[in-house]
Amino acid sequence: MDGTVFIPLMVIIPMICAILVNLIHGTETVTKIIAWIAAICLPIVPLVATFGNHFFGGYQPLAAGNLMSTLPEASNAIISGTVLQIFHPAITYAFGPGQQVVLFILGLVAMCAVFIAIAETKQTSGVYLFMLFMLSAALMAFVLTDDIFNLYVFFEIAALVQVGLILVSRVRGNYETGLKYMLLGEIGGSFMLLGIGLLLGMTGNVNMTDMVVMIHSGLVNPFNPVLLFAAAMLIYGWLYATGLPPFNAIKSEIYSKGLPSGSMILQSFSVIGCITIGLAIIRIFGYLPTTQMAMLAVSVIAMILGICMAMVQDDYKRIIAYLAVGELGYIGVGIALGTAYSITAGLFQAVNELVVTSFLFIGFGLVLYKTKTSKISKLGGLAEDMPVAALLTVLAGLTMAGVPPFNVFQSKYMLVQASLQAGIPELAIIMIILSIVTFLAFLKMAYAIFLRPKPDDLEVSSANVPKTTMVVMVVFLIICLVIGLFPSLVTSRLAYMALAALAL
Amino acid sequence: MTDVNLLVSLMDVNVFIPVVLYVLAILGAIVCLMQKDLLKMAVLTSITGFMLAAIYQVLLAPDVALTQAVVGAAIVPTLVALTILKTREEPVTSEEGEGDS
Amino acid sequence: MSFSIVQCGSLLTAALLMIIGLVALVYLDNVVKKIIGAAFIGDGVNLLLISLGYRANGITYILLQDMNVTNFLGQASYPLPFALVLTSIVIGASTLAVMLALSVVLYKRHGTLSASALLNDKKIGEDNNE
Repeated sequence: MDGTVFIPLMVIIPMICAILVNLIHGTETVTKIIAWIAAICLPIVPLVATFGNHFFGGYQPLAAGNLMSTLPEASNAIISGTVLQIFHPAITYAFGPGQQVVLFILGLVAMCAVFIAIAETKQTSGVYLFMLFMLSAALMAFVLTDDIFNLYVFFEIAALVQVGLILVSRVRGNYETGLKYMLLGEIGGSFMLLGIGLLLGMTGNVNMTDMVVMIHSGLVNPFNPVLLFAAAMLIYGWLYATGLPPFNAIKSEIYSKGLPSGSMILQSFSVIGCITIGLAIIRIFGYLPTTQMAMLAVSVIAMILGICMAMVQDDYKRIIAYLAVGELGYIGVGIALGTAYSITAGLFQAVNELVVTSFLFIGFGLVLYKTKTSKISKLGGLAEDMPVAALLTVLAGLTMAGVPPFNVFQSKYMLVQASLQAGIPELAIIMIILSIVTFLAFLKMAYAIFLRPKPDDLEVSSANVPKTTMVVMVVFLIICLVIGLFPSLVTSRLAYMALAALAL
Repeated sequence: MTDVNLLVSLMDVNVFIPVVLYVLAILGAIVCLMQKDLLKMAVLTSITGFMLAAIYQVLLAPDVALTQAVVGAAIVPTLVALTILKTREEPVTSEEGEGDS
Repeated sequence: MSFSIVQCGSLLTAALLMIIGLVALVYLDNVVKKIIGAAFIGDGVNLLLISLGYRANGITYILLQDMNVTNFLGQASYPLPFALVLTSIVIGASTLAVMLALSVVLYKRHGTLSASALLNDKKIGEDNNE
């Protein structure tokens, strides 16, 4: 059997499962079993699929396929021998080694999110699982798709599901935040569609490979102002999806309104959106230095703002949320520098980010689970109540700050090297300083929550920490260690994705 | 000379109809948003929706016109009107979300 | 002539719809009006996509049995943007429905539809779980 049949299955399995668990919402055991099976499938399917392209409906490019005979004679005469031959007539999913790594890690995170959602809620909610699976499906499609309109459709689905994920948590003010996010999202989505429409008008295509061919072969004037405007619109969509400034405040609000398992998937959307839309922009508009400079500037501002705003908060959910947005700036820097090495570093940082931020959200989710408060000033001395969980959470924080031998150290090291190679040593200095500040912020937070004497009025619930959550945290720690010790396992594969993005 | 050409071409029915539709669509949008009475606004939303459907038909996209006619001229105004009717009643509860933190 | 009056007019209408929507979204205080403004932005983008596929003095893109293929290819409008718009209309309608539902819930909680009262930071407040 051809292994490429598994490529669409990566999107189809979570989507079908989402619909099923929503339909059989009432029956709890069946819902649980279906969710377990589909969740385990999520990371496994990318491993068993073979590399290649999947053409929906079997419509291959005419140069590759033998559909020529089914076309009318007259159109055959027009098409053969022109650039039309190599165009992709159908939605194309491209699956290579880089995509495999990203999808495997993403599948793992989504699987853990589903397990935690089942373990931590008293009554398994089919609707909540529906949203988790739907967002995972959208994210899988994000990474796979080569078709920019398909990207937009899943972007809108993801935006809707994100709001749903906030609404189901019973955090104060979630409805207000949801409406605000949707209003902004309507502008972001419309502007992105506008950019796609202008690109379609200029190149006559929605497939990114074909657009690159059209622009770089000179069939379209690459310096047409309409293209520049389209680039600006796409960058706006990128900023909205990623939560870089000016959207960093609303994005961190979103994170802090979600349940821990929801926040894991929500931050996966930001990370995956950052790399896929960012790579699309670099692929199509890589020849315009203006786009790269704009992306670089916003990313640096995001890094600095994220940490500055995290320092003044008293609410640990907010602190993680702002730091998570700040860390996305590193990915943006890697992608915006635009060399093969820097893009690999950015993708590597993205893969690490997926694991580490989820790790942190779970860890501090446990603190919330035990104490029911998210104010740091009310907390203290939790290390004696949950010693193992506290240790794991502190380790997660150190990982995010970039302490060796964990994975983020490797990717930040690569990013520093990439910025030195690109001739911007100032950027390297900023990144190192910000890493140190992050480290200090985490030490302060860990001391305040876990080590200092317990305040008298703090009530710690005696409920045991769910076993699933602990197992998930250990799994994440192992992933961090393995990637940190053997970075070439991941980087060698991600390099293919980076090279494919730069290929003409 | 160009002005005269423009006028002459406006006389053409194939040009005249779309231009009228464009003007109506924009006027509909503005009038709808300037209404004080929200229920009237809900009804007026359908003007732009319907005019857009007609424009799509003129611009050689009949299948899109069908969808837009259903969505823009029927479903969207209904949804907006339902929202307005729901929000005209007195609020049921106000204890949630209010007060100090 | 590459641009006909019809096409120019539709592009202009699309731009105006987008501007009207943006202005409504930014300046109007009523949440429902903001939502409708957002829907107008989407409508404007849809119209822009449609006018990309239009061809002056063209025919609809349906190939019938007795048509000459070469003539058809020379005259038919470009259907790819139309296919995109079909999806986009449905997405826009569903987003609108969710936003309206949210505003109903917010009205039931706070008793007002004014955006400045609903969406300010004080109401959104702290993240304590209930």
